[in-house]
Amino acid sequence: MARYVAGRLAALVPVVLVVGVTVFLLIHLIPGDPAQVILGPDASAAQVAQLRHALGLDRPIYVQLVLWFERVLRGDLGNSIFLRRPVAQAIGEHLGPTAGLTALAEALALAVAIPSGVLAAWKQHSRFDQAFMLFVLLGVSIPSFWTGLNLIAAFAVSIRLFPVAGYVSPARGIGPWLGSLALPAVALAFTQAGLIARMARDSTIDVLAEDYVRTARSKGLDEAAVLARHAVRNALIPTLTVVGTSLANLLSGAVVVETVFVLPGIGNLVVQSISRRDYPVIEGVVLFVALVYVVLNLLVDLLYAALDPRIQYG
Amino acid sequence: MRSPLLARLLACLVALSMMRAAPGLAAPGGGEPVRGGVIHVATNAEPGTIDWQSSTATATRLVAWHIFEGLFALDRNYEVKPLLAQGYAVSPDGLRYTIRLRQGLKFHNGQPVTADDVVASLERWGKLSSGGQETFKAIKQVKKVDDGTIEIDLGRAFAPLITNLGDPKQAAVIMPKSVIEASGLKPATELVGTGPYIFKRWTPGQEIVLARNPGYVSRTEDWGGITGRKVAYADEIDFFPVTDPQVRFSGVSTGQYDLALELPQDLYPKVKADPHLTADIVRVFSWTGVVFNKAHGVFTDQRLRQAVLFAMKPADLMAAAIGPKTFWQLDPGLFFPEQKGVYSRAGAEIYNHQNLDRARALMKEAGYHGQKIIVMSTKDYTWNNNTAQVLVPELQAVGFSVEPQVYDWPTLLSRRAKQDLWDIFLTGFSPSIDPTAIIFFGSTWPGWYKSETLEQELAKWSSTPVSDAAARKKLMDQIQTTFYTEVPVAKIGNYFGLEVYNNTRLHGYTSYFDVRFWNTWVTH
Repeated sequence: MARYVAGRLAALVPVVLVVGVTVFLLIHLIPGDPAQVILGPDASAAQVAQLRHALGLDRPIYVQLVLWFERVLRGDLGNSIFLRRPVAQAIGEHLGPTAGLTALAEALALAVAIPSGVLAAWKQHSRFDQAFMLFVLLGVSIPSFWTGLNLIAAFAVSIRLFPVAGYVSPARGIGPWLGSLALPAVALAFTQAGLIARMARDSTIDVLAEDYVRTARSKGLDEAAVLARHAVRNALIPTLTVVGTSLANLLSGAVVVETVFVLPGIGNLVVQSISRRDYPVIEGVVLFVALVYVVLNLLVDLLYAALDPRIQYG
Repeated sequence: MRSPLLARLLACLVALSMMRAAPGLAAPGGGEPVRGGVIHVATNAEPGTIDWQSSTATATRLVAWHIFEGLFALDRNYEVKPLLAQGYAVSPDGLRYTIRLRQGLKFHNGQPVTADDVVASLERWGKLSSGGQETFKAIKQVKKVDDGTIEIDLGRAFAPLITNLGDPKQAAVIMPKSVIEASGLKPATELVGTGPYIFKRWTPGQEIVLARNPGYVSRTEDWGGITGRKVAYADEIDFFPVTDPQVRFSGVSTGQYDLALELPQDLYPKVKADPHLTADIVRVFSWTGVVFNKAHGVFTDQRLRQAVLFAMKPADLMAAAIGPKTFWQLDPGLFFPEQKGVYSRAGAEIYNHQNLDRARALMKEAGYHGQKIIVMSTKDYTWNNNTAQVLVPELQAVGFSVEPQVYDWPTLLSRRAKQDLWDIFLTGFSPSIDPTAIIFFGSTWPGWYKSETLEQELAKWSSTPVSDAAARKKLMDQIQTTFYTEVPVAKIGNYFGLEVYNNTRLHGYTSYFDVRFWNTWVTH
């Protein structure tokens, strides 16, 4: 097991290399200029050139790439052009809202999706199952920004239960913090719940058709025990794959939701940085997200073994 | 049967709507100013920097002018009046300006404002700002006379000197000499000014917070605009960058924000329908134009630029771009009608006179034979791309072969700097205060306009004393006539901004070309 984990972690090195170089080249090759954005649309060419020189952006691109990669290998992601602070610090400052949002959204999605998916499988073709399928379809079809705007209209403007937008740090109270994350978490969870619930339903239907479930029923176990002890645990293995990837997907969904609800998270940071062409931040955030993806996938693989003793690594 | 929760929610809704409709429950109106509280402002964009000398961006200006002040500034009628300056004297030959500072001025760090700070600030402005660079072409030296007085020696008569020192675009604000030395030509990070509010903190993506300056030394005159008497009633001003306009609107209607900037004009009926909201229609806001590449491609020929002017129908372009007629105006001026000192109607016989036959004749005369022209626009600003949607078929109707290209704004900014990549781009021009400061008259700005006629006219303008109103009016007419003859930019129309504030919470607010929150108070 330890060798397997070490091997997977060692595979991070080429991932970082490929992602880093690709992102660096992509963002430097697309047009746009942070100096022009800082100086505003009325700045003259001479002013822009002056600031480009001061920021070191007039060096050849390969020189900038080598300098950047040298720093990355030393664990230094560089400094943000706009935020005037190290990129790692900027990521750290923006991590809290994103972590809170994704955790809440994932918890909400799981709390709704797993029980309803299992129940829909158990009551296959019933009214509940049909309503469930409609919910799933809406969940995966409606974009999260639209859900978000409607939630604002309903629960922040008509019934003023939650703030329209903005983030409250947990240091200012758990209640206000949860209040600021409630609507964005629901908007984000809606799509995820649809995906997870669909998988939970389908895998439960498959498991319920297995011989060992028939055996369990024939030996007189009641349906609740059959579901809880035999069906759900086995149905969770394929569902877990979706949960793992959906956690990673939540990060990309957070980009949209954080922008709509003005949450100062990683998603908002990357959107702002792209529009300003803040190259070091874009590079740093993409590298960070790539690492999160790889680590999450590793954790999911390890959880397979915990859930199913037949799966062994090493 | 409805669930109890649903019934409770519906009851809540009904109760809230009744409360909103009941006039007796409204918060008190303007009344006497109240000290304290926090003004919450939802902005549409976050600035790249708050150093006002470094950036021309609106997002910078509307935060920065609470913190920084210059020697001179605009009043409510868009005329320049002293701010940090007590006054000034001009030598009989017009080549020496002696400017006295007001007494008792202090920076936010407690240091007194001295002539050394002023000299350092003006010299930096002369290097950083395009207006400053133009002004310093006429300046021989800026020197300290004593701690409260400076002298500006000119190499030639330059009447717009004081006007340019009060120009709010990349303004000549005064900062401590130590801050100037520390930041050099990079945007300053130590934000120390003399204004009624002090920079407190900036949490990127979240908020910019300013706090009242308890030691602010205000003028006493009721001049309005950016100068005159300024009182910081609120303890704080918090600026929140909220990119989604619907969210800004929802926030101001619930009272989470006291004022929301730059809302789409189609929300106006909703604003009018809500008695707690007041729409501020900003008339001196921006005008839209078609910028030609005069250094490369077909539009180096003036006749083809004139052909575009005659091919366009401004009313259709403005209706598509902006929408309701309440929010736009067809006007030939390089300046807005409210800017009485510089406004001219010269060129009215050409502007807004679509004539397709004349356009085709000019194209034929210029030998146009179907060369492809690239029209760049952006979807980052809805009006911009909407304008292109109508402009392109209008140009095609007279026989231009057009290739529309749509980019995000940073990409458009980058591409427009390269002479061989485009023929036309669309942009908006925020108000200028002097013809020498009009950005597209500069030969280095994208479009690369060079005109001997205009240079001579601007030189005459610069040497004509501000006091000679008749001569300046005549010159301004000549400058605008040249604008319509040489067509460096084809003007489309003036468009107005929509700012909305919650009138139960924000009081004393007055309309201006950008929002300001001194002399304004909140009752939360």
